[in-house]
Amino acid sequence: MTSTDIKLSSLNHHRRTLLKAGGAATALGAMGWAQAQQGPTLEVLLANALVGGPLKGILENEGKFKINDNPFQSSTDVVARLVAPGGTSRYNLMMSHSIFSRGPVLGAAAGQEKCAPLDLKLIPNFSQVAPTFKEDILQRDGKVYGVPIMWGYDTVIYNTSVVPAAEATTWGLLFDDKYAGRIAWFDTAHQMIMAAGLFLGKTKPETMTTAELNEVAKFLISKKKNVRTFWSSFAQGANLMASGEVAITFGTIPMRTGLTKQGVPVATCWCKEGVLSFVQPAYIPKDSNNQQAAHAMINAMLGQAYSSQLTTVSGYLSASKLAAVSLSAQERATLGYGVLDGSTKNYPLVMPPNLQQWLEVWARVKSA
Amino acid sequence: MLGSKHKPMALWLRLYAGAFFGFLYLPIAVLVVLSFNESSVIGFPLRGLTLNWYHEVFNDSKFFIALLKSFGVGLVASLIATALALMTALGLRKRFGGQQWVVPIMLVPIIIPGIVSGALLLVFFGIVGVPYGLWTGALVAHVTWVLPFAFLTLYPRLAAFDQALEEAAMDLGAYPWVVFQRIVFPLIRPAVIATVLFSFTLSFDEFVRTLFVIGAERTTPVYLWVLIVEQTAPFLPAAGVIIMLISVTVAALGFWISAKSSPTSKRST
Repeated sequence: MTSTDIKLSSLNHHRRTLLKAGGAATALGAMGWAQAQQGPTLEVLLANALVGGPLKGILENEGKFKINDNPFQSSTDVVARLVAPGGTSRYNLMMSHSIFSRGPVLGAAAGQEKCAPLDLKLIPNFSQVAPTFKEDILQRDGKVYGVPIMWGYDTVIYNTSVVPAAEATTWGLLFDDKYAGRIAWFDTAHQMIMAAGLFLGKTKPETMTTAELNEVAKFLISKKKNVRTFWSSFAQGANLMASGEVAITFGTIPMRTGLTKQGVPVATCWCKEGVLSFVQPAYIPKDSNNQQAAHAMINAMLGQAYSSQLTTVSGYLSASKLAAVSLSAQERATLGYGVLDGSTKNYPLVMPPNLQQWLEVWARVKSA
Repeated sequence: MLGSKHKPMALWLRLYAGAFFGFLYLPIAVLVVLSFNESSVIGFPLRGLTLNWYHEVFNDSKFFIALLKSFGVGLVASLIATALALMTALGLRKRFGGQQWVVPIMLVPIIIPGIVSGALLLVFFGIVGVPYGLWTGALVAHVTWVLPFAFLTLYPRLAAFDQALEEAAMDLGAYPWVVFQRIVFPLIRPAVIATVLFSFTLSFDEFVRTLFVIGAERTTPVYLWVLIVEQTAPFLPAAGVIIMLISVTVAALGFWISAKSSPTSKRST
């Protein structure tokens, strides 16, 4: 190889390199342009079912943004991630149960809020929030920090081919000797003790004294013989019902929705003591880098298109008045909208101040 | 041979071993059987045999994207961890101050429960400003998790390495890098490959730490977990079998290469 050959080869190499670099730059430019057309990307942390199926597309089309839904573990995890170091800049939008989000999200005093005050001019659908949820708006000193978006309830789910509808009127189904061996309990202290407390006539179960908690523990231990098994994930509970291993279980909305989709004959028990209800507001962490798009997402979640599809897709109910306008009275009753008009009794799933004691009671029940 | 008075003991031992292996492997066998069950309920009784769930898994683009991400992060994490483990193992052959602390410190990630590690990484990344994501938080979490195992696999090979070979090469004028490149590495190459494969398997299956720091992305375990949080996905046993096959194949390859490279294997050939 001569020195001229080497120079030519080197020039060719440089040209190819330049062409490749040019090509890469064009491709990157095109990707950037496509990204810009798609709008900003919102990092959200909320129950994944809320942006499942067509729901994500509805929101993205309406708000002109892209949604990155982070894996959701629980409401407590959402709050823990918000208050962790750097947590106020990680996500653009978060949702968790209002009952225990209020304190950590708003902080102890003004100025300590972990989330940004909302500009309600950017959320015209705020006026559509049903009056029932007024108490669940996160606000301080006239500023709104969180808007109720979704609500739901926990109750008893039963197999309609085993349990007559006339019997399904109380939390007592979870403890009924008649169905011994065909009952499943949710392996969690809070919900199970609340349910037992309501059944035993405690008007404010979250404030139960030690003596009352002991009474509940004694009752649960006496009924444990009826329990086929405890479950810890919704999928596990739903599978127990679907397989017919149990006919009655503590039940959540996603479980009932999944079972109904599978064609399992299940129904929701509208407990006379009150179903355990919860509300989830959406809030924008204070250092979120895209607050305008996050406002647009909150607005879209309260809009007609999203709220009317929410229950069909996920089973959860919308806090927007626009959600139920197209539903028949029968549909409203079946889905749980009776909670809003007072025809279905509910009791808020309030956090007990002595949760540690509840955990100890539950551990005692399980080990008995 | 056992005498007649030892026969009952032998029988018990066989029963014990049978029960032991049954507990270990029956759940896996059940998972395989359920992956072919026609019923949409994960459980018995069997309602017939079908390949539908495998068909569903292979047609799920999100599952494949998650699988690719698991492969990607597994490969990169295993290469980084193996390189770090190799350098540490090489370094430990020399004497230096504080040497006795290196191995215990290396093994800390094994001792700390996964959920605690995940929470610690979450807090630490928040303080130093590391963004969540596959190639940021999750990669660091995987390397941290895999590194001690990579070290424990490589270190015995390096410790048993005959340093006279290196000294002979240096006597003949080879620089340290040439000695490593031409003498040491070719001899330990099978062990290094085995380490990469073991590390890959560990990273591929990692879930708890990943969940804390991966952000909106999904590796295969995270994707499956999100699916089952709220509802039963009937194709889960099929997805589980596929993931298990990948892990078992890679691990078996690692064991095979490792066995081939072990000093005892060399002596017997």
